[in-house]
Amino acid sequence: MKICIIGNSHTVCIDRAWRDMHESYPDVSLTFHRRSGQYFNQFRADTHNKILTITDASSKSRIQQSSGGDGTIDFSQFDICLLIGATRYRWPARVAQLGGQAKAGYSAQAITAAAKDLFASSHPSVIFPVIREVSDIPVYQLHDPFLAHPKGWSGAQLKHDYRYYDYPRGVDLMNEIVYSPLGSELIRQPAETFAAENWTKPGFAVGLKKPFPAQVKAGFTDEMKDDRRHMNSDFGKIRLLDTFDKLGIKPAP
Amino acid sequence: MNNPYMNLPSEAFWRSGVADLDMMDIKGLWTPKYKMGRWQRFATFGSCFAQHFGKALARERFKWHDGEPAPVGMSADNKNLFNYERFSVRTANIYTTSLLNQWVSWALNIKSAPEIFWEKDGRFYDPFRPRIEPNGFASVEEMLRSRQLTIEALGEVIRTTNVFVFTLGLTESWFDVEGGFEYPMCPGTAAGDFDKKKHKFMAQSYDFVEKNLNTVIGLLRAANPDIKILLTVSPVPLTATNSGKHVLVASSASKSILRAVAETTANNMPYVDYFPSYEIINSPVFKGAFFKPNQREVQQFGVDFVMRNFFAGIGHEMTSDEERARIKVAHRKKVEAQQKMEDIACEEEILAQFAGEGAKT
Repeated sequence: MKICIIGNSHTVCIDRAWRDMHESYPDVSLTFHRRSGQYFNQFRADTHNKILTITDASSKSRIQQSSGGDGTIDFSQFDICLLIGATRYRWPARVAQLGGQAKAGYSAQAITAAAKDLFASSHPSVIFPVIREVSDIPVYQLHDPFLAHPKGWSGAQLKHDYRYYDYPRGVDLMNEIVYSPLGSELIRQPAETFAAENWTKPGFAVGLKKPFPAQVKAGFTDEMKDDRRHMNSDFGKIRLLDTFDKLGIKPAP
Repeated sequence: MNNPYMNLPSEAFWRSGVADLDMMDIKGLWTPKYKMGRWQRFATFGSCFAQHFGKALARERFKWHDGEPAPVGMSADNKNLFNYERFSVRTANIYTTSLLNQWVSWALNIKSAPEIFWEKDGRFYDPFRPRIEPNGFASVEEMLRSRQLTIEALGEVIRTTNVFVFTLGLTESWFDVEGGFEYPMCPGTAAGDFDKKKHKFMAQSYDFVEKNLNTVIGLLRAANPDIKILLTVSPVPLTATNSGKHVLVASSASKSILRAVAETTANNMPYVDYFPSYEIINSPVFKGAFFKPNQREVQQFGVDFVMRNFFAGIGHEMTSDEERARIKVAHRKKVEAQQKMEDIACEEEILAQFAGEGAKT
């Protein structure tokens, strides 16, 4: 199974996990195409050669560096594509809210309209039509992780403010309304990674050792150094195993 | 000679308050009875004109109570299509005080909403909100669930709102003979079928309007003892009348009753105030300038003029279009800068840890 990964910094936890796991999966290859931030809008379809190119030179260089290729993406070389990150961390909570609203009694057509709008407002939506111009490859999306809650939080602090909330239902709805018609699927963040409905367990957070220069410049202090948006390889392993399970990929006996 | 008029302010005299002024310079049209400001939560209900009130409050960053939020992520166009954010909950237009009484009675569990529905071409319509969804509902159950959501949200809004703004719109109404309940629109207009044996027209009298309004205010105050009520009368004339009179005459009769009820109620109750949006649009002083060519709908600058008077009354300077645009741009830049900083700060550094490492395994 050849897997094409297109993503941003949220691919790092997957990459780290894969380095420890790959020997158990001799028939599986993961090729990472990544750069930071939201850059999916830079991809263009080269319909003649059936490949994706990227307009920005810096992004191209990062893609070359991370994939070891020439900066383009040829889907004929892959069996599936995983899109990772670029939604921003609030987006999955919005999916969960939508699921809760559907359960609470909002009409099906209102939920359908909102699901389409919610997808359209997320950055990864821009790459789907571009991919479909050159390939029918199955595309799976892994959204940004839910924010890890600050260490020491418990009980009432973990309760979310949303009146309606149902993450599994929200993901199911998004798949039914948006992703399935695109030949795609949004893959849930696994249940075991949650501390509460709305938070990733803090033990999975990267927890960077010091504020970055840009953070210092912006007034961040030592107490604010933890990165609660990016997860570690333990999280990456759970996410990857769960994705493999969905794809029917099993370790070699 | 001494008399009570000698020391009155200029607004008390037609010449100094009106005739000597350009119409747009007329000021002091309303002095609120109680303090109002951004710290309070406002809920808005009533006829079409009430929508402008809610939108203006939200635009001026007052705490406009959105008691039944749109599904998360829904675009502005779809919110409009599905009637979200028009009123504080999705009751749709509440034209009469008796219809308001009906909704409030349901919301406070005094009465139950009848489980009636209208069906057309396999879609189901709520007789109390026939246009709330663009193509009706998929099933009766869905329609009833949606209505229940609105009823529950209204109850919550009543219990947690500081200022309940209600715009009185009509006196002409339609009732169900058997059930005794009121329809917001004549059956057979937006949906449903009209049956003259089942559906009864009522041109509401002053007493009927006042009695219902007093009942509503009593219910609101019982559920939320500190709630204040702000009444306005819609300046928009009737679209049509079933009274047998000319629509212009029927409009005048209807608005006169509503205006008189609002005046009496506000005079009798310290927690009820009246804001003169009706006069601001309709007074001959303004020469009909705020109406669209059909002489019925109000132009946006008329709405803005009304709301400027409202905000001036409570001591809030309305944000100009230029200022609003500036705030919007500044906010967008701030969000973008913050996101960019996050991207640069976190993502580049994390990716940097992988610099030079082969990624294909």
